[in-house]
Amino acid sequence: MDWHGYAGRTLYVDLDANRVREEPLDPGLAADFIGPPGTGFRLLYDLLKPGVDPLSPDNVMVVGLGPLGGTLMPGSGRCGLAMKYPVPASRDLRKHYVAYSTGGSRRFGSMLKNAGYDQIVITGAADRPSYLLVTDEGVRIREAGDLWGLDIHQTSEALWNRHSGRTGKCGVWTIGPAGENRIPIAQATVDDVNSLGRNVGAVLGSKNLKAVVTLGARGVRVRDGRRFMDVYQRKRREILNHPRYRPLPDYHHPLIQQVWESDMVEIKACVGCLGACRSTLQARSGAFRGASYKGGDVSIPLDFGRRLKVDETGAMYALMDRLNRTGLCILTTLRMIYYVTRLFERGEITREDTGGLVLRMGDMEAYLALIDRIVERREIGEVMGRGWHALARVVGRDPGAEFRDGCSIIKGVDSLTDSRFWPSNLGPSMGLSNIVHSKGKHAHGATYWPAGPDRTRETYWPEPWQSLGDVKRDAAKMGLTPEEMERIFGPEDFNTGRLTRFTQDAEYLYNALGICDCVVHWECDPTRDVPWLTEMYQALTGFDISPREMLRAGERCYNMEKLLNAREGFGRSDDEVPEVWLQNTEIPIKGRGGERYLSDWFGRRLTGGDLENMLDEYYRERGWDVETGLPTRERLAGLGLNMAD
Amino acid sequence: MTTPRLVVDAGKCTECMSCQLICSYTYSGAFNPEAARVVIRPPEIRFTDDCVPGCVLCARYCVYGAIVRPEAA
Repeated sequence: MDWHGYAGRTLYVDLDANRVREEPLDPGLAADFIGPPGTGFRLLYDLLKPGVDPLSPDNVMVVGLGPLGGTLMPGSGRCGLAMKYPVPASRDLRKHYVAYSTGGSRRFGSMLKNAGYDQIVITGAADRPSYLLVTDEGVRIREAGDLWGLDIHQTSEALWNRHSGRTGKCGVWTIGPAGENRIPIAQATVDDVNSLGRNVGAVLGSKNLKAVVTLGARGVRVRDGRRFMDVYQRKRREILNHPRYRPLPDYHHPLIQQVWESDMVEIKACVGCLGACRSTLQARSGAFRGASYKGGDVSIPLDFGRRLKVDETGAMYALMDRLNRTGLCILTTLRMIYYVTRLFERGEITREDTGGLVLRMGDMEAYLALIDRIVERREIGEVMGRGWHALARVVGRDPGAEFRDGCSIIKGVDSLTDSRFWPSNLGPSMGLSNIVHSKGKHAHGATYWPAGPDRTRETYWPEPWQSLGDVKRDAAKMGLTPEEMERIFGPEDFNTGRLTRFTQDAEYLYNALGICDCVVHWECDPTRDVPWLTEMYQALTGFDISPREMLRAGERCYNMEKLLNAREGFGRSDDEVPEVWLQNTEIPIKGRGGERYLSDWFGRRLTGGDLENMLDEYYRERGWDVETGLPTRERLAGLGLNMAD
Repeated sequence: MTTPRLVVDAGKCTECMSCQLICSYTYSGAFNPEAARVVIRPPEIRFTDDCVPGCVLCARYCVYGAIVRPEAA
């Protein structure tokens, strides 16, 4: 088949046998799922049996880049990853599948495609530390003894130097010591600054795979070049002429903006992106002068600095740099450090648990020593490394139910966003999606902050983002039918559960295409436009497909992932509303503007019953069984997914 | 670094590869950064010997100000 957009090949890497082979991309698979992670889930359904141990050689990882990836399309480095995750997702310690997609990449995804592959299927485990070199001149499993033990920045640097291309760096996806030590909360990092992803590092470590390197010059071909560039230019002009467009971050918060402007020493963008968002920050003064960390949002060191009573921003940079280098998720680890330190201060754990370590808020040395204990799998650190549910079992406290000291935990992972602090979160899908979506807790969860003309953004916090007109305009851009629009939107309101189904399908479509779903700092997101993306896809691949069929491909990906998790015993009872959110229906959060209770998009206070109703509406709109929270046979048949019993 | 035609400020480069993508697409017919006539390896940004005289496409597609036309510098 003469492929355009797609490389047209899948690479199979068998680390047990030290062998690689390639197969033509199945056109049916591409048509049904567009790209990873959906294509990966379909393969995993046949390759894996229920109950597989995520850290055994039997677990299989599928990583790849969708058809628009590696083109000039903004944010087109969004790699998809399908696998079973090592962190327990339930109190009885069951594990589940997650559709992960990196925030983006510069070289890794683009060079994978240019090496001639849409995706890599990694099976087995190498008998010694290894790395995978994927180029257009051949694929090799190489020894990585000299890289083992290096941190993430050192490994990326070493591999860039070793496999440099003619015009730039190779792509690198790597783990640090935390992944090597198979710590379930370890992450893997792509191109030195982007996560791919949370809880992925240990699976690579269990396969003795230190890194995957990509490099090639095959080129991404376009079927109808004139049309592709015309359609692209139309959107590019729309973005560049948007009144809120900025190529660099604008935090709309004087303090945060000031710190960013003072400390930013470097900023990176993903392939073709018109809005760079990965800053390297460096302290300019104080005891930690010179300390820096890569890849982050400046609000994270400021927020956690306050919580952890670390006064100097530079100290937070040093702490976060340590986490980045070892390959531990910054958010999860900082939240755990806070929680465990509070337990120590409350007298609920002692020096016996911590291996003699005294934990005090604001004590940097203690924080760094705690990180060492996680990486070395010692004492309380060993428990922390196994995730929140494991920690809860050992300490006999549920951090997900502790309003002040705990956090919002969904399927075993602290959610990226917490609806208590994002008062409009439970509006257009983000908060609800956290609950029902395997990926939601890891990301923005069908990110859906409408950015239309009615919205004004004058502060960092989202209170002013409450325009019904903007939500409606954004929903229309997903290509919904008039009947669907009518079902979702009333004259002064919308139905969150129903809307969420479509925002999720659209998000899975964006990821499958290989593009970022939050291009240009969430300020103006004209690329979240299914009819326009369909035109891009048609011009790129030559495939005749309607916007509605594209959205259905996103829906198919979502259902495929759910099927895998249903096989692992997950259902509606696992789609739990975080306990701390339920508590927030009664206990207020004190913040700017007074006390806040859990609220919807319009600021209306919610009850637990309202949340259950949202869930009911969501499952109904999906055509799933409301009692079990699982796809019905009829719905699956309607999507052409007939493999399930 | 300054070429006769374009002004380069590598400190502003975000490695988004837009310059390489438009260059390779225009002159090789496919999105292929390795076929581009501009090398992006910050702090090194340079044009290759086969860079097309008079072409300013890379500058036109750089929104970060890393490669700009002299009149816009």
